[in-house]
Amino acid sequence: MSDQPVIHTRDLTKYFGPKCAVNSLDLAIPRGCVFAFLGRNGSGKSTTIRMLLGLLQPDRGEASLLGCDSRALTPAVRARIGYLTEEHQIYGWMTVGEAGSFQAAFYPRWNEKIFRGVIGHFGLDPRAQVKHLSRGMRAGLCLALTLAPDPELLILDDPALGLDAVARRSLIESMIYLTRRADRTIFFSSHHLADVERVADYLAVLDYSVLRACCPLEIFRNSVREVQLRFAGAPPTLPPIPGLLQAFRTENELRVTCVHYNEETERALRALGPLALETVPLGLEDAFIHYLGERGEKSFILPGSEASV
Amino acid sequence: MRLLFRKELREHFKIALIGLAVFGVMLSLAFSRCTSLVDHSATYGGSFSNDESQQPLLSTNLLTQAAFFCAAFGMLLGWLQIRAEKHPDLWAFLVHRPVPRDTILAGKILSGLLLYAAGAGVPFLGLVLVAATPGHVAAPFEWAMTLPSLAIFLAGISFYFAGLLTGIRAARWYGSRTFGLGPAIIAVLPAFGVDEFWQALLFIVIAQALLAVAVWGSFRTGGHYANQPIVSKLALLLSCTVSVAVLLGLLSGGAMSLFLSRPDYSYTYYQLTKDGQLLKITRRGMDEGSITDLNGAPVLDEITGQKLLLKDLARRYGMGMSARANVAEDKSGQAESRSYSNPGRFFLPWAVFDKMIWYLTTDGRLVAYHFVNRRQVASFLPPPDPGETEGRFQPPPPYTYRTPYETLTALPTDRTVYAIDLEKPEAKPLFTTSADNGIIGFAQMVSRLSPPSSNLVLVLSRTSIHLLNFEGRPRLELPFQPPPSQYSIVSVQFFESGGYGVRFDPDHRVNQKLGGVLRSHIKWVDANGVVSRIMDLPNSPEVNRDSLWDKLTVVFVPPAIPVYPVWTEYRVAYGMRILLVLVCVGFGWWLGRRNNLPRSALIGWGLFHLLFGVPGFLAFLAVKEWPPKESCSSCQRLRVMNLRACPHCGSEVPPPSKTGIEIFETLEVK
Repeated sequence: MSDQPVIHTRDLTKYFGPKCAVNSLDLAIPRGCVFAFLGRNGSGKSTTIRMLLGLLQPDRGEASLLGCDSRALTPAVRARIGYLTEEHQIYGWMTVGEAGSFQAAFYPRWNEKIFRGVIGHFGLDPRAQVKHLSRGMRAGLCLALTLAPDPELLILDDPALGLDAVARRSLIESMIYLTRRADRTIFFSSHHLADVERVADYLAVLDYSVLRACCPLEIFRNSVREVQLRFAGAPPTLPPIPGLLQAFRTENELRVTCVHYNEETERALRALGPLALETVPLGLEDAFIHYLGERGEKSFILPGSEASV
Repeated sequence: MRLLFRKELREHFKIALIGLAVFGVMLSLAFSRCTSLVDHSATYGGSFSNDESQQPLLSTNLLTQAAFFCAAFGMLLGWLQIRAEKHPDLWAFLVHRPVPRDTILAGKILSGLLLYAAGAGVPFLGLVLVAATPGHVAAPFEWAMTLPSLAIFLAGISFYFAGLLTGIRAARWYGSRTFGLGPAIIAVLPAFGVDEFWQALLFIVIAQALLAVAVWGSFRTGGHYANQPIVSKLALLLSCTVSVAVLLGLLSGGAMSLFLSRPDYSYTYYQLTKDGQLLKITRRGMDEGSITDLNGAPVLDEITGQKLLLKDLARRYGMGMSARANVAEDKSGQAESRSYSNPGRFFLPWAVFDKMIWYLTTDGRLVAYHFVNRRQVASFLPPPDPGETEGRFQPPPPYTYRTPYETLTALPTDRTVYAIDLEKPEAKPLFTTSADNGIIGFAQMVSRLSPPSSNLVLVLSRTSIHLLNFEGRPRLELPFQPPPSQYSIVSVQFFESGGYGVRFDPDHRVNQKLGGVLRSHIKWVDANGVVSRIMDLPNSPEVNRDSLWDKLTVVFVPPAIPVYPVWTEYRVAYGMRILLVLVCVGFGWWLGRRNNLPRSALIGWGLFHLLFGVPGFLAFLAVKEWPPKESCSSCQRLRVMNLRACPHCGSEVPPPSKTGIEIFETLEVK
């Protein structure tokens, strides 16, 4: 097994008009991991994926998949990459079975069992026309078409977008049980943090087109901390805290969220003279929301109140 | 590719079926219109025009409709084939598969061509089969008559490629996606205008090659100009240049028709009146103009005493006849001089009577078709000339007009002119030349209602000109001087006094070769046949070159296309053209520098603008994708962002600024 990253980007940059959609993205994703690519809407996730697959030309920088330049992916390399698009578009006039046969003819490693398994999992009738399928069923068919070629690298662009909870769970289950294989790499973007938490090894977070985090899931979760400080009266003014994400102020409480919480941070907070200081563990979803939420200090004190800041 | 081919067929067969139905109905209606016109003309009389040929395969009306359909159908089909997969996710589903994009495109094009053939070709084929089967069309049929239909069918394929290009191209300007249409339009026009099929085919093949290469390159890059192979970049650029040139021409023409109420051209000609006076007439448009004598003095109306007006000019004209001399040894060349799509290339409707239509075919035969059963029912050939084994009439000269209900006619062979009565039918020789002097031109003024002595035939031989009546009696004989090798048009004007004015006009092509030195020559002949006066007409320009349209053409036509010699009247236009080209070169250079194009690209674009002027420059703006630009963080000057180093100060693009919340950890294989 090669140590070469399966996905590698260097200074990958894309502009749409004057707007920078992806800014100097450097990624190196090892083989065999499940990698979550996170960010808010419009942060550049889909653009990155489209550049990785050579569907969009970057303005600067380069990307390679399985060691092959993204701008010139050969048919042989494409055969090793499965790609599931976010809107699950397939030809509406095809039946489920026709879609399978159509796709199968192009892939030498097409696994009919996987295809049958996934469409069975989603309860799809092979004679049903794609245009008559619900969104969840179409997602299931797309997943079946993506998994059945038995790809080494699976790129899923928000595969659960627009699906209800049951369909989403179904899709994620299929992803977990049918795709997990030692040498298979899964790169997926998602807004559903619970799903990410369940399946991903690593994550990367894009914030306004810039990569802000790329690390194992646990490290991300542990890096983002919320600290609750209680005061006798109104909380004092917060000094500059390194890695501060948010600070919520109530009448006698200050809740601070920051990254890289350490002794220095704690000393700075204790210098405020709180009655109590408590560190609250965060789940991935909360950590992510705080991480990408509005930065700075906020107050929940009603105007006119004595303790208003 | 087989699967992709089948997928495309399955996806778009409906459009082919709709096309088949619509075009089938269109052709059926046009066909029945042609045949009903023949029936109508044959029953009620009336004139035949070449616009509505008796042979539907050559009907301008039918062919024009077909050309419009093939263009629209081809364009729509191509555009839909791309448009159906324009959604980024569906596009990704199509192209992200282990086959080269060229294969995907080949599948699309092959299926598209098959669908086009089904929608446009099958109805055409049906039309050809019906026309070729005796009993459907009361007119002669030759396989060469199918060539105009074939040219139109093939020209539609150019529109198919234009549709593909329109669908695939990523364009920034609203409407500039349609820039693939230019070459297709240029390809379809010669289908009607050129002399030979191969010439039309050449235009079509060039346009298709250009568009196909542009489609190929654009499909490879998902519609973007950047990263295309150089050959497809060139093809795309040329396609767009042609389109912009066509667009500029249309806009100039449209603007002029909107803003110029006065016709912008005038022309001068000379005309003999029935009393032998020579008038100089200068016309400006349809209604305006002046009538003077040769000294420039206005000609007065003898009734009003005022200046003679154009509308009163007809009163001054007498009867006249005109014949064109063809000095070529092979008279069949006359037919060749017509376009391959012109019915006159094959036959001329000669007479209609007794439910029969007589045609003079280009192989020198009069043939009759019955317009009820639409089959050939009679054929008529003249006796052979001395020394010949088979008689044949000379093919009709170009632009011959016939009153079709006239059954009395005169027709020449190479040496003899026959008076023919088609009702009997019988041929009586009127005039025979000697063995070394053939008949090279012919005109007649014949009516069954007139006495034979008033029916006149003008015969041009190599050495002489003869005006005869239908009894064979000569009315006028003159040597053909100046010679027919230089003067090909002879007109005889009848004066009220009984005399004639015989005018010799130079052959246009010969005169062009000689630099325009030949001038029209007039002989005044009295009633006794004696030449009383000879005159060469002043060599006035036929068209005043003050046409704004022409000048705009000079300004906008790419310098690479030599359109006109440098006339003094065009000095300003040529000056403007040079100025505009220089502006384009300069502006292109500035744009290139601003976007940090390498020097070789700057020089290449400069040459391109020099060759293709304004249309080339606009095409350049339409296709070129500029890199994003931002202020350099070091030197503060605007810099391109597709390069790591600033072209002004050399500093590298700084990495995104840190906010202190970054979480990075080396990822390892688990």
